[in-house]
Amino acid sequence: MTLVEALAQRALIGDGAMGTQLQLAGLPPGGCGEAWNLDRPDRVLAIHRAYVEAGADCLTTNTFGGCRISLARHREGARTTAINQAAATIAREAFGGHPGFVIGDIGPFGGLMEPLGDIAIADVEAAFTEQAEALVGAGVDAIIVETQTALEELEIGIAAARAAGAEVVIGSMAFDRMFDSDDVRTMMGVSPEQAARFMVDRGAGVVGTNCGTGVNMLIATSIVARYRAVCDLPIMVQANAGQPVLEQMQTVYKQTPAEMADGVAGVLAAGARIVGACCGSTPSHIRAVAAAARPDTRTGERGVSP
Amino acid sequence: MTDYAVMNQHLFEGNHQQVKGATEATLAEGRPVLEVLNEGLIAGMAVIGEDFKHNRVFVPEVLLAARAMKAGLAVIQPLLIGDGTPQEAAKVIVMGTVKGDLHDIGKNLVGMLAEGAGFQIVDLGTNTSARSFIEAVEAHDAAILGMSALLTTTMVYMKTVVDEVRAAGLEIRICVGGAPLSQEFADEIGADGYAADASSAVELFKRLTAWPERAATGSSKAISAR
Repeated sequence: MTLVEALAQRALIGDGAMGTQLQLAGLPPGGCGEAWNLDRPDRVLAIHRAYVEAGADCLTTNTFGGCRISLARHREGARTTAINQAAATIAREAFGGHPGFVIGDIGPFGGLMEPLGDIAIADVEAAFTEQAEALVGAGVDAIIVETQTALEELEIGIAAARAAGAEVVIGSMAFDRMFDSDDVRTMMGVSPEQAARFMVDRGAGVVGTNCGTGVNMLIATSIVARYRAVCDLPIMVQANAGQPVLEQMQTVYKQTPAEMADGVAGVLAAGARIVGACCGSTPSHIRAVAAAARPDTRTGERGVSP
Repeated sequence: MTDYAVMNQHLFEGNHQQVKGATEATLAEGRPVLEVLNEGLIAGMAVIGEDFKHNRVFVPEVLLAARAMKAGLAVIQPLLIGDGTPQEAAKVIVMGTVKGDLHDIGKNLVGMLAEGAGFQIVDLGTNTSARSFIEAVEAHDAAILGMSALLTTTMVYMKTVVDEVRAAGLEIRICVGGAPLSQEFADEIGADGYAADASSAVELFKRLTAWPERAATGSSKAISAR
């Protein structure tokens, strides 16, 4: 069954944060988390497994900063293909033979393209193509081009994923709450309606929203509703666990699993078909989200046990 | 005939060729260099900064306007150095993204808007250590040290920098910014200021350096927000 076929039957649960979990597992500040797919695969696997045990139907590979441009900042560019292949393999292994969807993650390359910045468009195309081919080659069920703020970069990511043969391509935008209203735009000024129409036009199979500043589940719900008003595609949501605060020089995300779960019914009613979480979320958040999304089924029994 | 409103509008729209041309033409008419700088360029950037803060324009428009401003500034800068006009030396801001963090879009935006407001920017780039910050502050006699971080794990390094700068006995105002930061965080690490966006950051810099309001008004009113 493909991801889209599954979505036609029921809502699916996504996973939660990877970066903050890697840091909890010992990744030093500013370290290259993607390199752990090769150097510490056991720790990446353990995080994925915790999400599967919590009820996640979909795992996003540990490749957010896994394109060559991003990896090169950590002097890991030469291992780009191997890092992405390993990521897909680890995520599949985490399902332990049980059904589940591995979503290959392509994050922003982390700069500005010409003419606004100094990165050549062709370099971004090459980087996303290389990453998408590695992920698809290693057997992912879909590719998500996420945390995007510019239509130009999103377009390159979607095109690269489609050309690489991804069965499903998910586009996902990061919106920020505006200065003096509840309206949202991306950093580059893109509205939810613009984003949804653009992703439909470019051939995405699922439209998503993740991360962003000041976007809790309530604001995410309004974004889903605005997507739904202009397109019929399945919608994916990954909200942050609130804004981080500092406690004893440790940054912590204060939104509790229960608080996050409170918003699940609303976001599903607005049209979301995959509900996961982003920065600061934990397996406990996903467990609560899964329980809220499927009040009639017990969660926590899927996954690692044969 | 000098029309700063038209020049401001070109800057607002990011027409860098026109801004460069208008700067040259206005100077050729014999207008004072500082007047062209203040009324032609700085006033134009002030408008786009204000519109950015209120979400009437977004990052692409600011980047294009900043490029246009730089085109005009390139014409003016040699004259500022050479003409002997009595002027206040531009206040220096040393800025960088902290150690372990490679994100620089926000930091660059702050730098461009601050430069557009008349500050001199010394940009140390990304992954900047406390030692590099301190050396640059001393070398450039900076008035402000600006730090940026996008990651929750790297923002805590800002406290290290604040502590080492204070320990070095430097008289400098320290400002911090970045998506995961807050005023509470800035207070806790002992920074002198925090701003939530690039435009507010420039207001903060002006406040902390008691920057005189140099930009003339009048002409800027003709600019309409898109």
